[in-house]
Amino acid sequence: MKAITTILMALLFLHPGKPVTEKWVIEKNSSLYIEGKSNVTAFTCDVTEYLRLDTVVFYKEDKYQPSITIKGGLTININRFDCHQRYITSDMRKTLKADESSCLKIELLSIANFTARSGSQIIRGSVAIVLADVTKRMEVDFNVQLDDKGNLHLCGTRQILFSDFGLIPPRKLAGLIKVSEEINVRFRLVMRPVDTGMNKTLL
Amino acid sequence: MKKVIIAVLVSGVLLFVLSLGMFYASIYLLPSITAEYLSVVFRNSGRADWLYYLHPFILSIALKWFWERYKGLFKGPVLLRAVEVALVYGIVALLPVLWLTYSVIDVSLSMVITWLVYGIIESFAAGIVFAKLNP
Repeated sequence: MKAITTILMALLFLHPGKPVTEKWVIEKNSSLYIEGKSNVTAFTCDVTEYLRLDTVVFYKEDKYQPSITIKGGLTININRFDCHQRYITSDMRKTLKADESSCLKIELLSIANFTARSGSQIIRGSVAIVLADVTKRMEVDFNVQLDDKGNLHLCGTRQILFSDFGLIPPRKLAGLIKVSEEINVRFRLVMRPVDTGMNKTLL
Repeated sequence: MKKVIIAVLVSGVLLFVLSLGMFYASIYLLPSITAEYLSVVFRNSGRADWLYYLHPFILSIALKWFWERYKGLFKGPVLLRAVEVALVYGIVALLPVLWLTYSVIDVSLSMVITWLVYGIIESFAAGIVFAKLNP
């Protein structure tokens, strides 16, 4: 009887609590950069104005869960990429098959537990990158920071290969000009909390 | 005939090396113009690559024919004759074609000028070979 009482008391005090959910809106000043290089020049393609009003939901089943599940992310129209060199811009759009699948998506999947504060923190998380209708799940080290307005800045960089997405990097002049297989995808999400009356003790 | 073939081959190999040398030099000296080759107006590397690598030999054959036909018009030392061949080729062949190219294809004027310069240099080199081997 004493043992049963002890177990019941333990369950009562160790109860993990309710699931916690927080909703954030991706702000327009979020940005995404793709950095690549050829044997002639390096180039950066960017979209510095994020026009879609997407939301990101942080979700945690209980307080003992080691990471936060995330639903939502960034969707960019490849046709809005600007590589700052006219010839490269059009070639990159063609290489990324903008005609067939015009969106590059970065879906946030999870992030390790962290506390939102003003100083930057490096937190490991995972994302799914969707490009040319191919999805690749990848680990990313996020730089997380809370600004004075209470907005959350989530920055991440990940090196990917064209071949990961079934894409072929441009080669011109009979192969004398080659664009390197590796490209860096760098994104900066600025997120505003949404007041939905949900429990806001997650971050 | 043997001398003609040898001259064509020597000139072809020289033009091949020269064209690659000028291309790699342009990466360092004119990177912004060279980057323009990434434009969609240029064919992606593929099955037609061999045509590009064959072009010095095609040019060599054409210039050799021109040399044999008109070499009597070019008088003086080797270098002077080569300069004359290069200028004639540049003005008669390259200039009109490049003019047309610039008018219909989306390439910059600076790129077209580099093609004119490359062509003149290549024909000058071929002119030296022909003036030496088949004066």
